[in-house]
Amino acid sequence: MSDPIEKSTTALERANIPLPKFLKKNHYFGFLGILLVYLLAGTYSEYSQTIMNTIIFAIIGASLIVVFGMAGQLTLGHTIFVAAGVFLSANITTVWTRGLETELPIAFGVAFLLGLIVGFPSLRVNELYLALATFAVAFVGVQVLFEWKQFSGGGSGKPVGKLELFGYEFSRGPTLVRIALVLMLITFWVVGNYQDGRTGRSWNALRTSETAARAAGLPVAWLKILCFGIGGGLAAIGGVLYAHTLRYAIPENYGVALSIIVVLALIIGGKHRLMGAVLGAVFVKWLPELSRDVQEYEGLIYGGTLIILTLIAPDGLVGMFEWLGERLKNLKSDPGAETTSFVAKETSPLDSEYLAPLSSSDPKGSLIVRDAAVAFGGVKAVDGVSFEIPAGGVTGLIGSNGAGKTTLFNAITGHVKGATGQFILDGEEISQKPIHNRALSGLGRTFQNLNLHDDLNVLEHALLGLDRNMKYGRIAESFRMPWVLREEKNAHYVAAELLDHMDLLEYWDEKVEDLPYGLQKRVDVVRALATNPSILLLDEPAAGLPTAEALEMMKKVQEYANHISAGVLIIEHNVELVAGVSDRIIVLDAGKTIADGTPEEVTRNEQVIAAYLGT
Amino acid sequence: MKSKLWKLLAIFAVLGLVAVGCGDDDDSSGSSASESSSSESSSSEASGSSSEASSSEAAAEECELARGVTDDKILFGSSQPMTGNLAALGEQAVLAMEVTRDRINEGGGINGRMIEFIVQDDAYNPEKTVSNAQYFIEQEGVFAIWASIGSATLKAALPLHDESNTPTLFPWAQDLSFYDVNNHPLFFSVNPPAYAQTKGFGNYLVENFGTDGIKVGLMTINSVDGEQTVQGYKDSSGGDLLVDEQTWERDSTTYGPQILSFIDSGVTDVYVGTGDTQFAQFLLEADQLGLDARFWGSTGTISANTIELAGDLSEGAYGVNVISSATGDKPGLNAYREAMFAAGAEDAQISTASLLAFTGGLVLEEMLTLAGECLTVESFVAAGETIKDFDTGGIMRPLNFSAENHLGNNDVIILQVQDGAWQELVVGQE
Amino acid sequence: MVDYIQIAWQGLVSGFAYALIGLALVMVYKTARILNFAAGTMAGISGFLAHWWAAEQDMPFGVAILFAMIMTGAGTYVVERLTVRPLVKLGDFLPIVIMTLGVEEFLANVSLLWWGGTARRYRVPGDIDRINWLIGDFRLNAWHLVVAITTFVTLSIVGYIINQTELGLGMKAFAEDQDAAKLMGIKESTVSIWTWVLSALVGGVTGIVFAPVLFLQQDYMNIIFIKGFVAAILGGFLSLSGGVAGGLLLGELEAFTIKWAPREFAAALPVVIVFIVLLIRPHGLFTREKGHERV
Repeated sequence: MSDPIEKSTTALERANIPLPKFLKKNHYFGFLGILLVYLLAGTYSEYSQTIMNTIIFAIIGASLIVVFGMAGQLTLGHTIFVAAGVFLSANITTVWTRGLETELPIAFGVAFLLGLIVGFPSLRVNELYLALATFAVAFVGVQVLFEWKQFSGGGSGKPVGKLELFGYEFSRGPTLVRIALVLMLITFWVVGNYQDGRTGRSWNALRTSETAARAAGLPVAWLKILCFGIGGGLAAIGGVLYAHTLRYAIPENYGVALSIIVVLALIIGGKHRLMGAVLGAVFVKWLPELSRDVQEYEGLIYGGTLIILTLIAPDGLVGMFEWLGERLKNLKSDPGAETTSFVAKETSPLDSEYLAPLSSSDPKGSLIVRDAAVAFGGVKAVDGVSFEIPAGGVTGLIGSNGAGKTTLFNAITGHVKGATGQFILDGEEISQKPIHNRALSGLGRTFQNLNLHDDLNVLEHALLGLDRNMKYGRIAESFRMPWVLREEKNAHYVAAELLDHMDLLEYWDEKVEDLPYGLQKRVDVVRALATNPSILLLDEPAAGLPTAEALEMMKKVQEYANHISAGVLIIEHNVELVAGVSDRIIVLDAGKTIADGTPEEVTRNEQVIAAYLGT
Repeated sequence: MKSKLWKLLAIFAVLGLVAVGCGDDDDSSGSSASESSSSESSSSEASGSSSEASSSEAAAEECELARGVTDDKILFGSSQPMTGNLAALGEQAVLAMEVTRDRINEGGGINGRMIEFIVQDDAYNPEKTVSNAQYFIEQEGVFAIWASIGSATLKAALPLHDESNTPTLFPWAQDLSFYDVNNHPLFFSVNPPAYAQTKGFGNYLVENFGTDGIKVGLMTINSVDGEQTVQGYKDSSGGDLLVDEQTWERDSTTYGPQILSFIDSGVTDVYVGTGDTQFAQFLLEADQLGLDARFWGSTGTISANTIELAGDLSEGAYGVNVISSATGDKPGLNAYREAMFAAGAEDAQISTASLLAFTGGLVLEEMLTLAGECLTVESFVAAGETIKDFDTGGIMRPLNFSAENHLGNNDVIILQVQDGAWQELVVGQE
Repeated sequence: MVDYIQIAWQGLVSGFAYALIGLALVMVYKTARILNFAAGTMAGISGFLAHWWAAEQDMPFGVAILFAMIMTGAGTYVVERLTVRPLVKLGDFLPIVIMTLGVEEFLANVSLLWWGGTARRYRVPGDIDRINWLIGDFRLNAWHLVVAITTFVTLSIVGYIINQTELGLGMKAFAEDQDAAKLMGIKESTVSIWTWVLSALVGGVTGIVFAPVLFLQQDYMNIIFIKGFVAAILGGFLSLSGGVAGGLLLGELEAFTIKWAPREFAAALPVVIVFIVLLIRPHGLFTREKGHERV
């Protein structure tokens, strides 16, 4: 009776983790900013072209945040979507004589489909090579426009018709600025919703580690293609507006040069924040505007500013402002004054209303491995390994360096190419499935060399693991429908309890790269646990940790595994630790099983002692 | 939860209404507050027609000067490619504009008004041309846009000029659509469209070299007036002689492939629609690869720099121009060169680009003078339409404008490089 | 037959330019993981400098080139120290790319203000760029021969530097493994700066030998830069010889596709072919894919 409220509170409330809300502080600021420009558009109508260009570039920048900022796909082909918007707008307004109500959905839809196609190379190539592949797409896109004369007017181009909405004609100038602002608001809202939702989280995850994202069960291939689709569709909205400001569409303007400028603008502004898209657009559009009086030196000023800006704000303007803001905050606040209002738990998080339902008495995670083999060049790293693990058991996998333990793991999870053999999880054959589907079938894994997502905080790692539990669709996510919020909130509660269980709750807001090594290991485990796996594959969880800390962590993992009745397969060098937790140990040497039995049996096996324990 | 969704929908509904509402608001009240938006142009057009009737009484006592015009100056704007690969043309045009300005101002201006102009770079990018146009018109309040270069760029900016009642004067832009007086009543030019130039070329070719054994190749740019260039030739009397059509891109580094194709098709005459540097490179590579033909350069290729760059290889090359050779010996041309060199021009800048801007300047001076003390857009246009048999000192044949025709010069002049200079061969019309 | 040889030769001459610029790009990328967007403009300025010393300062042809190369090297040294160096320690690829774009814009405008936009002829002794020899039906331009020889000499010198000198060893060590190289006591900043200078000199040679071919004009090396970039990727971007081979291949591809492909596709076809190659061999034609993904 002493403190009933405290007892009943959830981990989330104790750690003061804010719940996802429909509108955040940023939304209000953004809304106010846009409203301000909206109201001033009439007063400063003589700047409407530059304001328009800024808004268009901000929209294109926001669309590029999807592709590049979040999903990390370096594209030089983004103008193809802008061009699609421009020329569709030209055709719809002149041939069909329809207005924006037709232009916008068609432009978005066509560019979305185009994006799905353009995104394909991203499955094969990365970074520079992707930049070139998309460069090629943009290059070919312009050539197509040149030759497809009915659509684009060829080299001569095509005029753009009236600015209309549902039959009402508008003048350009300030009115177009206002329409553009409304579209910018919608675009930013949608992109912002992705940033706060599962799709954005998944994109961020695949940007920072594709391997780990796959292991968490995220459909990386689809996510990559989707980012081009959505990014493309939003860029086409910018294109429609571009068509109406320019009023004349000429293919040669939509080449690679424009692609480079939009990417440059976003990087200058800050590629992870919507504000970055705005600041980048302001930079590239207003610097020339402000240097009109000295226009002879405009290029010099532009280049010079770019150099200086990159020196003082290498992470973009947003990064610089955030850094400044933090410095100011630190100056103001007394460093000692800030105390954590963190309240320790009183009951086990496993009994909380969010984790209790996951409890199961039905053991799962029986794994059959048959003739697993992996060869690199001529070297057989894994050479015909077979074993069966019963459901719910803890199995150790030991062996000297190069014995093929991690390779065997990778063969089971699908992280290595060219693996042969059969893997059957809970009676289901998973050998032919892609990585993320194996994960979805119930394989949860950690990595020997930590494979976390930099830039994501601890809580987000847990949420990534919970992604499969969220059923809301991506369209609903775009508009932040009520059920999206409901599921997100629920996931936050679950994640918080999970963090609490692994003693990570007080670090929920830390970026993983700022955490000490031991905690990073736990984050890796949390991500795997959150997927509610049938079997948990732990790759040297104790490596680099003091034994006490390792044992503590293993205890927590085992508790959780027991809670959900999952099996555990653990690779470890620390024989003492393995022997302490495992029901059974398999010993690998030179890619082959040399022993398989209880810890006692194995540690007494002569072959094992000779190959491994003796040294 | 649901209520928040409704809140959001409500916000958008309100916003949408405000958008529409404010937009309409601004259109009616805004034009009085700021001199922008299309509604203003229609109102001024309307007032233009009504004022014609009453102008005779009103103008004498009270004259409302056009935007950009004060008692002591007239302001112009000019959007030029000052950077990028057309920068040379921009520099040449601006030099000729400066020469014109200084000539007029040193003579005391026109009706006591000095000429001033602002140049802005557009790097041949229509987006910049459009914002430059707004800057000129709405921020600086220029009287007219003068001597801008570029068809593609002007295509985008011209609607803005027209809507804001801003004359477009003597640009180097040759798309057919510009010359329609009904659509672009404020557009004046001394530069016939690209279409007319190649048509004139085809006619000249047949007249002077017949049709026997003649095979023609065309190389045009894949851009705004490229197709019209080809069409113009096809519509000429030599249209049937066309055997090979090639295009080039602005970023080409070699014309070898096109030249090899011309060799294959055995052409006897090649029309090269490029700038002077590209033409010189074309001549060089044609010599390297052994293309043995007569070479015909378009307007852009005719400069002293072509000869400087290509050297002996330019000897005998033809030029299809709309204007006499910049290096020729005529009073107007001598005055032009004298003024240009006095202003610090290099030999290479004696070109069609600068001569066109210079000649436009002569007509501009005449138009401003004729428009009289009370300079309005209407009086200016009306004055321009009365110009007949205007003498340019032999740079062009006497120029004629009318209410139906704002293109003063319809000449196609054939030049040839002889003894290291462009010489005029014949003056004809399309 | 002669037709084929002629086309192949023309393609090869373009290919030399792509190959040299590709080499210059790969060199810097391989050792320092930096993509230098200013490479084309820097090469162009070298060409202008050689012209300026010869035509406006009346230096002999060779001395003018020497002065131009010294200025290129020194200028690059300063540019690297002032702009790129401060960013290297951040270990982020993108700011440096943006930095080189800024440098590109700045230098291009310096060049424009200095020399203007009008194209200039770069005079070579005896005007040998205007001499064409007829060998049977095959036509050989004397300057193209000079271009070919210069390319081979440049490649040999670069090959020598990379394989035989301390700088080359350092470059190789850094290309293999940055951390290991640091442990071996090789100074990253020294290797990096001399790689930059070497790369700029290769670019400078390209800018100068192609000046008579393309004329000296605003941005005349920019397209060569883009093609060199494509060539470098075609070659794998991590292989110096791959970059060179990629350049020559691209030159040939262009020459033959533009000759035989329908006019509508001619311009895009080489890029499409590179694109397809990239999809089939994601790591370029001349570098082997890494064995397996380490996790």
